[in-house]
Amino acid sequence: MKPSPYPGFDPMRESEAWEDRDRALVLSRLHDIPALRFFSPEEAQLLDAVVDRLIPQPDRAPDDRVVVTPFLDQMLFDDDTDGFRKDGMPWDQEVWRQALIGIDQTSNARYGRRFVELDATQQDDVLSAFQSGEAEGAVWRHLPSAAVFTKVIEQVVSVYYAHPSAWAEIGWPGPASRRGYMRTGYGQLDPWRPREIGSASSVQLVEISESVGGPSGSVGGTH
Amino acid sequence: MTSHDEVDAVVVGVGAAGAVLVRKLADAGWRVVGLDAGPHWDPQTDFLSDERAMSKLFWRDRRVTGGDDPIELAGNVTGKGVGGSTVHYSMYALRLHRSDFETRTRDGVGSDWPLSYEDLEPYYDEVERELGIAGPVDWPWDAPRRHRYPYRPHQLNGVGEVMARGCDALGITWRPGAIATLSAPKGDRPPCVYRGWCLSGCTTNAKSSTLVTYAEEAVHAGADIRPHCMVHRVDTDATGRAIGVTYFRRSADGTVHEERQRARVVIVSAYSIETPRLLLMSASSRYPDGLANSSGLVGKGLMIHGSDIVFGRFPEPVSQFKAPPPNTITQDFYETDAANDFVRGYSIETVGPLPGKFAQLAASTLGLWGESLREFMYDYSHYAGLGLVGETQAQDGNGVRLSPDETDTFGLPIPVVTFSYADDDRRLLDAGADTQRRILEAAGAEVTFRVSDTAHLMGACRMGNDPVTSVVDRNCRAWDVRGLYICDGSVFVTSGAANPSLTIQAIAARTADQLIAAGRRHEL
Repeated sequence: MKPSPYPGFDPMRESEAWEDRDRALVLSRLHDIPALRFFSPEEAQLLDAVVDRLIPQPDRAPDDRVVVTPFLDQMLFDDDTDGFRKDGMPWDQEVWRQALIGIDQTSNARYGRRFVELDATQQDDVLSAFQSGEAEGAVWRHLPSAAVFTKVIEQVVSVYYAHPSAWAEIGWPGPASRRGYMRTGYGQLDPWRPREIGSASSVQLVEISESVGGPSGSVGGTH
Repeated sequence: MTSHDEVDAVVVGVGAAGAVLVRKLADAGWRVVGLDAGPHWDPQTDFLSDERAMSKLFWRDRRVTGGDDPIELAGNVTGKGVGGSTVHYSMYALRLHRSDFETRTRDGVGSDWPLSYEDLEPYYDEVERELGIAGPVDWPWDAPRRHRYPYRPHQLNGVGEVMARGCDALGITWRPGAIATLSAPKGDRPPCVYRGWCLSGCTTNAKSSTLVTYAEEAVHAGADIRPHCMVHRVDTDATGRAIGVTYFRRSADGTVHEERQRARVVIVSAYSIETPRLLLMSASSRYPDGLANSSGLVGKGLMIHGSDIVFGRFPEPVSQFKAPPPNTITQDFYETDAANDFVRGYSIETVGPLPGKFAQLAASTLGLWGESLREFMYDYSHYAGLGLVGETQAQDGNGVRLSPDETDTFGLPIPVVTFSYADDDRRLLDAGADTQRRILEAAGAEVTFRVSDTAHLMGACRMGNDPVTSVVDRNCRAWDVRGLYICDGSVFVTSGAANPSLTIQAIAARTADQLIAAGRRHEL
């Protein structure tokens, strides 16, 4: 994949400027991975495989990859969720369990094998069906797969972009507490901000015409 | 059950409205108790600069959301704890326009308010002064001002510069927003340091939430603010008068006890979902359809703001995460324009989501995942977003009711929220998005995309001049129940196209003065 335009940038190098409690939180996220309490080992293995396609990390050694599944497990076990459900949808805990069953059903319908046994191209095909609402399987007859996919990807990215490795690749310096920023204008950088190398992303932006659940409330509003 | 001695007033919910009421009544010598379902935060120890950790600021108890356009609850529209959602709100502190109070007369839609702009104007002044609102020297749109904003405007950030450039190119008027964060010291609160974490809770106390302003002053004035108290019933006596509230109090060890607080006046300030929920839960043989509900309008007429965002990518770093996200605004499109295929209008404001939120918006809107999502996010610093505050019209089909079969951890029926846009709302949103996109393109955006979103709650216990068509009168007094007041965003008659917090606070300040005057006349 295209390399980050911020090579060598590490927000942790500036963490001396952070509030102690912010630094402690981020360090605990790096070093104290929660034990599984909500998902079974089989469910966690499947979710790991799904996350690996939703947020692939081929550029990182296995030990350097951002871990996602244990934090989703913690969120669901502690019921640290948005708290609301859409009419016709179950509560989040049930949505996640059903989603994993449904992904394997689609996988079996298309390839006669479980999702974890597929190659990456086949896995992406299953996830595309999941996202577009065209997934086969008994689960998807009573759960709208596109809306469930939105919930899954939103929670996965929320965990991923809470990690300093993710902040590094997007050139974002993290908590900014206590010192804030001095230069706030367009194109202006404070001295601790990384320089960029390379051009803008060539990813095509296509708005999904039918809203499939709207943006989540889990990390707040905007204005 | 613990029964506390009668006080002069008990306020349910110490948020945007409740904190103003508690402090003003305590200042007037009233014995006041404020009950809040959440914690009494200490920003210097409880608030972290972390998106995931700060979801604790939102109301995340069990709720169901339905209709054709289900509202995203939790972080978008709710708060839990002293200060309510002002702890994480975006801080635009805007007045409604004069036309907002008479949309039926002027435009043939909605209903006229029983209050005019002139009734609220002194209270807008008062709250702006108390909060230390930073705003532009002149406000070129309606509402007319007698006084300048008390604090100078904040410097522009990258998104604000983008919006200014685009507006200038198109001949659209813009100004630095009127923002509830300090641009110079006020008392022992320091000015903003431009961390950009405002929507996750301010750790410097520069942000004028009611937590660090009215609620803190209320405690100094002798008010008793009790956190972790979930009120589940407004109590009435044999004559039907409100005499207090009953609530569940959660202790530090997690145990829950039921307590009762008697009061001469009960004020419900729990916002547009929990206020109607509490009134409906307070049904009795005397009030079988819920308290204050002879009109049948408790829980009806819920409004939101259409809050779609258009993001544009720019060649240089915009750094949308720097400085308060609310930075500049235009209200050129606020009033009804005969050239449009809809009535009423919208404001356009800068936004600045942090990476987690931005990634969620992009993933759900653009369907991005896999390597393309990570590559897209490399450009996070290059995006600028403009958000809409689009008026919606009250419809009786939109609102709040009690679930017939699901309960929360206290055993209370959970609220079911229903919302669907009207066709006119959608036309307004589309027109707004077109303007947002034109501004970004005129500023040099390389690509743009539109995110559907909503924000704010208004209505569901509206005020009026007629007990048949409203729940409270112009002074927020319940038509049906003596001793009961409802004072928060739920009394709104129309949504306006401005963030509602300042109007909620102005109504609360006015209601407090009405109560104090009525008390002096022995007319409570």
